[in-house]
Amino acid sequence: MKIKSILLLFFLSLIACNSEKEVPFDSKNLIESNRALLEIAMEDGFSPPQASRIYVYSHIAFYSCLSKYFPDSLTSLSKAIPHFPELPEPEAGSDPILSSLIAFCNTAKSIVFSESLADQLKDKYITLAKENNFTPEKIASSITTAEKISTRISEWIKKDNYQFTRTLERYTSSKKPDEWRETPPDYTQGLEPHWPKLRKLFSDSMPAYPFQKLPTYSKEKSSDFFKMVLDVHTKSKNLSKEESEIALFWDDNPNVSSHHGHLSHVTHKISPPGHWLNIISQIQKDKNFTIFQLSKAYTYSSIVMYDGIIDCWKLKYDTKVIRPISFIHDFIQEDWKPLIQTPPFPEFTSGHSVVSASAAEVLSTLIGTKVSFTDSTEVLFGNKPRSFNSFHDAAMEVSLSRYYGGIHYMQSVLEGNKQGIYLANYFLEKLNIK
Amino acid sequence: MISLKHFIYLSICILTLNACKEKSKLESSDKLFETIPQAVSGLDFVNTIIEDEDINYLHYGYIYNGSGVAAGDVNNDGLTDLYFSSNLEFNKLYLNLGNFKFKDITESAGVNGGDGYKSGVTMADVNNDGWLDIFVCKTAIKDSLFRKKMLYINNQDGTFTDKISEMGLDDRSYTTQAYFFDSDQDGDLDVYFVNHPMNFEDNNYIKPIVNNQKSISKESKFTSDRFYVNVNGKFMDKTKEANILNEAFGLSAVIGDFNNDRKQDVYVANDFLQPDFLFINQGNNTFKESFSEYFQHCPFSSMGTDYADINNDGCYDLMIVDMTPLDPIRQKNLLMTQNYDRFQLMLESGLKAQYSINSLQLGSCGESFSDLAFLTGTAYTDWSWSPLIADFDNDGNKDIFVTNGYLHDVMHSDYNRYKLDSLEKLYNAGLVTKMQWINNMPSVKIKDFFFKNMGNLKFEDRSEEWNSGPSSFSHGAAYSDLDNDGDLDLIVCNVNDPVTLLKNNASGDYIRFQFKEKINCQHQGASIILTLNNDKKLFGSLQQTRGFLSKSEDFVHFGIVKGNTVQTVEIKWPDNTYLKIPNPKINTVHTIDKTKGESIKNNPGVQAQFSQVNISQDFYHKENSFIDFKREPLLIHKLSEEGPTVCTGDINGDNLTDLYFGGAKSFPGKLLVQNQDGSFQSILKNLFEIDKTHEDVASIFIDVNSDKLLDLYVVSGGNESDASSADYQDRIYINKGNLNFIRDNSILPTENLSGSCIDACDIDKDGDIDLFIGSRSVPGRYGQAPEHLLLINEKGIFKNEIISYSQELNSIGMITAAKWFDLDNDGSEELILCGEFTPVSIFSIQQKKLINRTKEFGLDERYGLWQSLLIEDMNGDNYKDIIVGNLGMNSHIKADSKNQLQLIYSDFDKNGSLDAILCRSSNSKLYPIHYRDRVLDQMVFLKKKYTRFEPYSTASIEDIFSAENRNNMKTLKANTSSSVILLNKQGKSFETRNLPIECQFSVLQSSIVIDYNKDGKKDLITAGNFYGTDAQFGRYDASTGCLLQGDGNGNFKYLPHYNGGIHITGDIRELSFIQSKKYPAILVSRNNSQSYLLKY
Repeated sequence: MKIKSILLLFFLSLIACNSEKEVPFDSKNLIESNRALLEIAMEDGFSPPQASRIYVYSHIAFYSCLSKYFPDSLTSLSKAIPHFPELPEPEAGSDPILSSLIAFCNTAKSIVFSESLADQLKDKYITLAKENNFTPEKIASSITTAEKISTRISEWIKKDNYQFTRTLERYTSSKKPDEWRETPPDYTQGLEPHWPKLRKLFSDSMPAYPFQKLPTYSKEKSSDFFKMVLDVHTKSKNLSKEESEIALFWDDNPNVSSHHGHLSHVTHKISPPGHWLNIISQIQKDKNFTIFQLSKAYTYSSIVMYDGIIDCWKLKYDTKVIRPISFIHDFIQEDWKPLIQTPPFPEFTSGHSVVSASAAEVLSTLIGTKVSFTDSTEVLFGNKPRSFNSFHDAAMEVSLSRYYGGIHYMQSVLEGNKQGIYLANYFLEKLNIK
Repeated sequence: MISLKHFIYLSICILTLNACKEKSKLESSDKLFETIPQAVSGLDFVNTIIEDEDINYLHYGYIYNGSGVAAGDVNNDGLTDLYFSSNLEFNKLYLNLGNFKFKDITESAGVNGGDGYKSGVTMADVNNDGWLDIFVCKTAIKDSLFRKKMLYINNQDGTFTDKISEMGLDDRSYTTQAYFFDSDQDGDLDVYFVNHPMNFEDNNYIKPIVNNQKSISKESKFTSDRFYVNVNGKFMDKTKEANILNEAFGLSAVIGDFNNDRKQDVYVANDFLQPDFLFINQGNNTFKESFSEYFQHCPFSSMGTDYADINNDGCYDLMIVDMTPLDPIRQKNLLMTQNYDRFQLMLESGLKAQYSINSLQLGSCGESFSDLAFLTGTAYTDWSWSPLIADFDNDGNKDIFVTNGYLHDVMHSDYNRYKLDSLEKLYNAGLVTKMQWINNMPSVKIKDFFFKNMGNLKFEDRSEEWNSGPSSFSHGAAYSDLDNDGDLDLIVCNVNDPVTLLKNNASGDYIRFQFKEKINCQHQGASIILTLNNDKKLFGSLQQTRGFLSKSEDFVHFGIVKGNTVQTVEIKWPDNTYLKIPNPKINTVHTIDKTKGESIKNNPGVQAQFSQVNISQDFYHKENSFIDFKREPLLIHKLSEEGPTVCTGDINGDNLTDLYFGGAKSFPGKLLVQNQDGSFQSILKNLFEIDKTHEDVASIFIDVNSDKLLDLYVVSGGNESDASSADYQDRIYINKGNLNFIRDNSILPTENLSGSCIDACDIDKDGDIDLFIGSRSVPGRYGQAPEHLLLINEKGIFKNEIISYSQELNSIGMITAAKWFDLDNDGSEELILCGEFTPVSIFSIQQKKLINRTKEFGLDERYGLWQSLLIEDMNGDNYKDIIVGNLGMNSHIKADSKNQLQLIYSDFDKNGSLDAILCRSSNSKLYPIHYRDRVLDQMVFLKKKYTRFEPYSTASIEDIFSAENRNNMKTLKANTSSSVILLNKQGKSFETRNLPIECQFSVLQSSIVIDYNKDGKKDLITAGNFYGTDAQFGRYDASTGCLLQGDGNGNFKYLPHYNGGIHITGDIRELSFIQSKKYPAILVSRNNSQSYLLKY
């Protein structure tokens, strides 16, 4: 636990909070909660789909609790999410932000593994309220409000089919040469094959993204498929220093294994959706968002990223496209290694591309299309900070990073990018933001 | 103040002072071994490993592998001297001064090993001058200069000179150990180097490793094993010509004869993905890799090895050690949950079945080996290095000593899954050093193991009683009679601790042998056979470089039980020289003079009584690929690999056996009609093609419609489809004559039970055939009792009337076999059933009811994992006896009265799926057998409770589940996994006798009665294995079939194949008699493989 607290301090020191005025609860607490959530997800080693689910429901709890106090500032999510539940009214005398923060903690606790970490955060806020001379009644009514709202939200979460998918058969690859199969070094079984069975938030009625198919599998050297794979292989041999840095910077694999003889250890990194939530936190220092703006940014981007992953996962398991490493080992170079580790699920489309493009589209709309920022998320994983001129530039860099890293084909990352934008726009239109 | 209790104790002691004294004296001398402290012995050697930022585990993955010791008499004074290797400092040579005193003469002898990372050491008379030379291996350091090995030639005056270059052995490969042996029997020593690559990061890439077999990388010069032939005193590199190029992480080798041709072969134990190699000596210094011809599987991380005869049958047995701890708590903290996809890919890629389990491979003199690690209790000895097989207590049976330990528990899951991650981030942030990463790794010293050989393949853990030395990280070890008192002492190398010196105080008699030319290479591999006065034979051989990184003494040692004498000693050399010495004196060291021997021909052995006859491709059973563990992660073995079923009958009245050979799901069964020439013809292919969606698991030819033609009933089973699937519907094919069959759906009830067995009987005594069909399990819900079918034939239509006949029968459990026979000779059949977690059960027909009489027959206490039934009167008393096949005693989950297995099941997480957890009880609490990740995969809600491995490792079922969770929990148990014969006592009760130990090597799937020697007494053949286990705990592949010679009284004697027995390997399911025109034969049917005939 000692190591954990040193780490958390270090993380928080990276996010410079410029709020000197000592308002007990404001944006900085939401940033802190978000960071804690990223930490918990990392601690528990949640895969990108699972992490996206944890982020979205926790942020929805905060947002919808706060919107109960300020319906004019925060539009009800039911406009976009048809099955969103009716929430109880706040208790009289409760504090809006404290209630919302506790609702966030309660909801997070119900879906993560390390429950104690969510409890610690909640206890911290209650202590903080006491230290700032909140009356016991105010604290109690805030806790009650949060309790009622998070209970309703938890009931709603339970109906999302997640539990049901845990009882289904784990994935067995067909072992056909042209289909996805388990990849080195760990040959982990296909991750979350039943994720498309999860309830979507807003995109059920959305027409499926009209993706452009990859070339047909072929081991003929002259075929488009072979050329497409060969391109990844060739690129991997000719990466510039910056291209390598880009691939490593956006690796965002929550479970990277490494092997030293009999020592096989796992590095937990922030998942792709988590990385984008952390970008929002970092922009705060320039933009000084209101709590409403900040909650919108977190919540809307988590929503599009959540549905984006479901959409992408459906495509992945429908198309079962083989990863570059498998094909390259078979036909091009038997001991080739991609720069970053191949994650354990089919290739098409690139999940990180979908996630990043959808978040970038939401953030461009909410914050601006030409917002430059510097991202230091990856310092802890040994990578230098990177700067961008816009969210879309960053998202496009993400797409290329998967190709540079040797885990995706060019067409799949470009398609993923388009798929993310398509999805985000549908959401924004539903909320009448665009 | 003395407490009352103490007072009483003291008084008793004073009163019986002498007795107390006597007892404590006994206790101290009870320990077979006595630790001689360093201060007494003068052995002040310590292999010190101090890591720093540059040299550490992350830099060299073998840095904790430790060092070795070579024991040999370097000054020919009759006392064995010791040479130790030091990884990072200087090696040391100690002269034995006698009486456990040693003198460091490293400096004067000039043998400090030089710079570099020193690994294995050995001694051999390389230049054939009658004086032992010393060989030092080196590895690890990138600069090849530091890997130049040392060959210290003995100057016969207490000094040595390194002549490695002069003798042509300036080989710079990364060498673990060197093995000198006379490969070509030309009278001089050749050498095999066990080497390893340096890429410790990609050692888990399956594909490249396989491909590399074809094109070994350029680095192979330093990383492949090497083989040098001695030509007139100079060594020539013949690696390529010898066909031993490879890219494996070799850790040790055995030089010995594996195929019974007396030529010395090389078995190489390999770490990581590469399976072990068995290089069979083809003569002319060439070898052929033949692992698969002799072995069914090997350890995943093979480390040290030893090769000796553990059961004194004259066939050598092989031990290879791995790293799984015996303590279940340590096991659950250290072991990774195995990934079945990876396991399967390894099999498909030719990397063989490998498990993190020691192997104790019982040899059969040239045929295949059977791994008996679980049967002998030697499967788990923690992270192990040196297995040494020798008779430590001088009782004539060779015992086993195993060293173990690893400076850091690099496999501790909480460390490598969680803590290391945090440390890495702190390291990236510059807050910790690399050494802090490493120092945070748990580090636990552990005890070495002693196993006492009790005879008849039984071993007992005697680590405590014999004193295996202090807990340590111990690696290389050697045995030698250091004080010439006629028993074997032990020298053990430790990391960061002084050498453990164990003085043996054995009391038995002994006889020891050395060779006249003393150490001359011609004696390597010589075997010595003692015949005792009681006609018992003891077998030994001369192999010195054994265990790990080390060499033991140059003698062949035998312990003799007090009172016994030796009638004769016979010596057989690899070049077929033979010498026989009558009445040798015991308690003496004999020196053998080979020149007195004579040349003999290799004994051809006993003529085989059974010979294999290959049959057509129609008898190939192809199993569909289905991984049951994907739906039920806690299953211990698959339920979808039960076939092929075979039933026999004469369907066309030509007195030749015809048969049905069942198909797995997606593969059609075959109706095979025997031709006059003994071949078989597959008929009505289209008929069975249509029904291939079913998995055939049982079948029978019976006349269901009383038209005197045999019809065919096929039971559908398996675990592939959902529980409600029509794929589980059984089928009847009506024989219309002239080899025409038609499937008749109308006469069977619609059902979806996953069946396992069928037998027919006229249950309602109305003159037609009724049927019982047992069910194996409820698909996807292992543990839950499936329903069964009792089909009553009413004018050709079958109706399931099991509920009216017996509710109890319908809920009896998971059935694997059922037979109808009259057991009490009352003219009415009993139904005999067995299954998993059930007793062998007996029901009698009484007025349209089936009455459970199991208890009355005294069979209700023995719950087994029963698999097969054979009913036959074996002792000629006119009452039918029962031979029941069980799981066997060679499994991780074997059960006996002391070690009960329990299967608990319930829907603990209330998500609709059944959670069945296999448990063992300890101190009246139940503990899950499976590791954390597997259990959490099945029950996601536990992920909140067990975010770490440590708390799970000690958790009992009561800790894991709340009382509320356990409300609806059901429990099944098994308290025996031995296969048995139940002798029928006048139709009233049964006497249970275990079948011979050879029948307990594996799952007994099938047995048949035969009188192979025509002595009028019934003999038995049993067979079976099962490969469908999960990737964790090892498959059941040790059976090679048993021919049991019966004495007519229900007693059986196992006949080894080299004595005329049978030898049938593979995943055997069924044995069936086949009558052909030419000869009687037994059809051996195997899962996912070709079947064949054994004619006799």
